[in-house]
Amino acid sequence: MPTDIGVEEAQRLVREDHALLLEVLPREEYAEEHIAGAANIPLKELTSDAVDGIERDQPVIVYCDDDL
Amino acid sequence: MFDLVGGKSEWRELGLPMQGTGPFRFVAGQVLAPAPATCGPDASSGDVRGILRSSPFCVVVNEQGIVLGRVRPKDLPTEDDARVADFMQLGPATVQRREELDGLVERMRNKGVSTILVTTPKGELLGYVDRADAERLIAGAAAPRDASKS
Repeated sequence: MPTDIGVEEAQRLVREDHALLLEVLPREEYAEEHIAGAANIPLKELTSDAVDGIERDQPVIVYCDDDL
Repeated sequence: MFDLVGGKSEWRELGLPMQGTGPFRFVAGQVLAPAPATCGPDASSGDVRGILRSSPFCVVVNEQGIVLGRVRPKDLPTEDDARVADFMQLGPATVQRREELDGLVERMRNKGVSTILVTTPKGELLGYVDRADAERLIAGAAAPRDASKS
């Protein structure tokens, strides 16, 4: 299960642990506007093959639009 | 694996860097400026007169930081011993950080308003939006860019 974190902790993980920000919204939404430096794998395409390029020990922070 | 609570909406509201081809969703949090001055409801008009020599307005907050009112130079009485609570502009309009700027700027323009306070959902003061800052951000959004303020 993913661990919930806030913006401050996400910034720290990116800065200190080189965490990958991963937007899981559709490609069109990602293209229009995303967090600077984030990658995109739409949720429907999020398979083990799709994450092959991510280092196993690299922290990954997934996000969508918001959690409300 | 981590889940960013609040997602990119909160990132945007905090004015942190965004990228993309647009159209961007601009929100109040991206042009949030700190309130120029604050005071309590029991401050005196003389104290606030001094504050307003270097600030365009003073936000009146209670001990929890919740907005009660605002004082502009035109609200000041002539005497120096009046209580702020008796002459402040009561319950000024406020918006939250996630308020979309397009509509907000238009409403501010229509009402001839140049600044508006920004609060948390509980009414705690976060700062204010200057309409000119918001207009500049929106006007600069035509080309693909880094949508952050900084």
